Amino acid sequence: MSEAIWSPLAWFNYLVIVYFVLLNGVYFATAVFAFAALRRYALRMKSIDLGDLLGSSGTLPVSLIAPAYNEEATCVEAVNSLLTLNYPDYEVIVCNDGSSDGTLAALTEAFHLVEAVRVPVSSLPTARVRQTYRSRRHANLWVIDKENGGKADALNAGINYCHTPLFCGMDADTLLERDALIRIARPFLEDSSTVAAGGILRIVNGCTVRRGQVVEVRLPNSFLARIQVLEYLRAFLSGRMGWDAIRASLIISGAFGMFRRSTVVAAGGYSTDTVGEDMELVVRLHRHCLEFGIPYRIAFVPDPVAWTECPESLSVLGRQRNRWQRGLVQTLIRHRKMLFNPRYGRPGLIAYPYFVFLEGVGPIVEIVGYVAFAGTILAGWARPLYILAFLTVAILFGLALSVAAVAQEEFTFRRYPRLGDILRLFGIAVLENVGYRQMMSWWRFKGAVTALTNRTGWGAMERKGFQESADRPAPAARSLKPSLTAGATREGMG
Amino acid sequence: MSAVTGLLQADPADATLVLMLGASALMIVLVLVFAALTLVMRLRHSRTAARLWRLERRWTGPLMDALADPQRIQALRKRVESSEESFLLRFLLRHYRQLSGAERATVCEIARPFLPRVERGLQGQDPENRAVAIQILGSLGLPRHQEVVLRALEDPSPLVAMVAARALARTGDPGHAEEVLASLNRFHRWSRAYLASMLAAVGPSVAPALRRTLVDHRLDPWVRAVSADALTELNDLESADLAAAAVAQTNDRELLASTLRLLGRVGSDEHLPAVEAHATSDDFVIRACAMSALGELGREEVTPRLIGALADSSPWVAIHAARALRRAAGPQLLQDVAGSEHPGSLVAEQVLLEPEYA
Repeated sequence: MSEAIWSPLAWFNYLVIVYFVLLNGVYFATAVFAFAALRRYALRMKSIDLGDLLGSSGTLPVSLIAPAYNEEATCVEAVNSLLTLNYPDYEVIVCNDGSSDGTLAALTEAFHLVEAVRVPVSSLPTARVRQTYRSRRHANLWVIDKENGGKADALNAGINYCHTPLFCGMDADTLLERDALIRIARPFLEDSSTVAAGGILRIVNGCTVRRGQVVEVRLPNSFLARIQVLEYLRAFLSGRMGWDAIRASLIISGAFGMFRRSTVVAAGGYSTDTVGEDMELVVRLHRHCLEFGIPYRIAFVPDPVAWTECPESLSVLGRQRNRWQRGLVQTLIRHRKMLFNPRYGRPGLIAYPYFVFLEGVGPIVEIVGYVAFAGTILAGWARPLYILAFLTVAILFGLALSVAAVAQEEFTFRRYPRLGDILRLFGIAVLENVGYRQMMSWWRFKGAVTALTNRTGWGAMERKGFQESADRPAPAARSLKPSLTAGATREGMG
Repeated sequence: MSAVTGLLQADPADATLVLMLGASALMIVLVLVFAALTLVMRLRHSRTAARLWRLERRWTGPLMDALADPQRIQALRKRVESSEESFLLRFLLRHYRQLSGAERATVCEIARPFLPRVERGLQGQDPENRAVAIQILGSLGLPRHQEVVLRALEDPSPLVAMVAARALARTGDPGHAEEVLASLNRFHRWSRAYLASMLAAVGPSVAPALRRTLVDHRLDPWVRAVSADALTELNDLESADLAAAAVAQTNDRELLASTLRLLGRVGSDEHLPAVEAHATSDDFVIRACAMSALGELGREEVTPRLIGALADSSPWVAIHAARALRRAAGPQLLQDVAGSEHPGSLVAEQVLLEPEYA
């Protein structure tokens, strides 16, 4: 046994335990912060009259920038949904990123697009813009047709043509709730130093959608999608809310976030050489504002909801998580200057180290840890009882955090009206520990290794289209799209 | 104590095992607590929702009767038990927002006996709860509870103060608006546009107070800029000379931009020199505001400058100049520019196609 204690393997086992304690300690702390913050938020919202804000001429104009690549199947419905939002002054800019299918033709036919001049007001570098179009049916709808350059490039093109002080970066197939814009714009009204705000992403699989709006919320039938519902609840209600409570948010989802245009332009726009452009932008905004002494706030708001479709096959999910992990690690490497640097305040001293050591390198420690544990048992250096006890604590800790996230959902928004759905989420919280967590670690491990060895590549997302009604599923509108959503891990669903 | 001592003296592996078992027990307790909490909340919310639905059904008829005949207010009040007061106030608040005039007054009268308890709630430490109380008093309790709402402008929590300010501004009473103006510094973090809109919503009666604020050099330029923005929304013609004086005197970027916008809206051609002095400012925001103002105030005499500005290094200035040119000289000149090789031809074309001009 003494030989084992001093062997590298034993030391590594202790490292895994320290990693585990730290990781779960942070999760637990953010969950506690999130509970307090959600309670305050729910009370605060009781004193705010959204109708009052909507009726005010003081709301800031917003542009919704929706990059689209080969979205022929869903783009018309998604744009129709964007045109029905409750907000006094907004326009929609769809950036067709060199689609090879009929995206532009579908938009042209549905919205009567005509060529129209629009002057760019900033000059972020992008692939060539071929033409700008305006809808004859909706004066606030513009389409920018450009050569393919990726999601970040399309967003940058949209920003160049954005004439409003705020813009909302999103995916073309994201469904926004009608009040989502006024809710996410609220931090910009209440604090003029706000430069970015993120909303919550929820899983649309299983829900009933009519005319671009989710009218009935249900858990998906697919087991894999159900697990992701729980993951998203944990990531947004516990994770992001908790980090926001200590003013150290490093991630705003690329599928739904609002930004102050001038600050983003000054910071250089989206980075086109990372697959995690959403996190990279937020980290860069922190750096830009702190380095130039600009007072700023980056907020997370838990009630503006964007609905998004999640993968239902292991291969697509694996590619997505691999990509998110690559984006995370690429961003962390690029901005490593922030690590433990007091100049960057809480983001540099608390959030960044957490993301580097626990989320970035974490999957490598986890996977090697599984191997090391197995080796330790096989070599007879540790009692199986000891390993069993450790795994039990690990599973129970994860279970406690998942159940806490369900409790937070019930405490605040209660989007799942059926008690059965809540009970199913409890069941998922138990089952995800067997197999799913290990697969997740493996995908993230591969993503981290790829990022560290500088290999790049794009995943593909299989879209099924939204379910029109519970009894009449929509035709299988499938499209393969390149990875348009990047983000991070357990704490940062793209 | 002996357990801890025992743990320290035990084999490290055994001690770790005991710790992990303890942690497992703690986690099991946490899981059960969170799960139970979730289910209890679900039950509680379901019961509350059902109760609210029943109460609203019970109150809706009598409320409609009271709105039709205010003599029947008492009939609704009698249907409210003390444990139902908070539900009633939320119910009334929702209707209050959808009504106006005498019907609003009737809703406030129904709420009157229930408001002293809300006022007592202001003693609490929780700012969010105080904000909710002020929201109720500021909607259903004015003017009876106006002293309380006015005091809330000084509340340590900016949230409470803002809820009070919004409630007071909604009354349309210029006296209240002056109180809000006096405490405007407390809302420095808020969007200027939102504050200006809130003040302008009071109506023309607030203009004299806004004018006084605009010319008061002792005040923070930001406060003066908010006043200028509100006066712009009100189209207050009497503030033109004050705006021109401010434009000539201030170096503050926000105040200068706001007063240029105000001057553009309410000024006349005699104010053109004051605006033109800023048409070559180094700051593109100021240049853009000056171009807009020139388009509002001038005619042929400003067109050469506006045509020149179509080629400004800032696209914002060029767009403002094109819109100004459209206003000052009509579409023909802009069409000529659009059809030429002028560097501003694209901007001209865009503005010609804008729906408000097309």
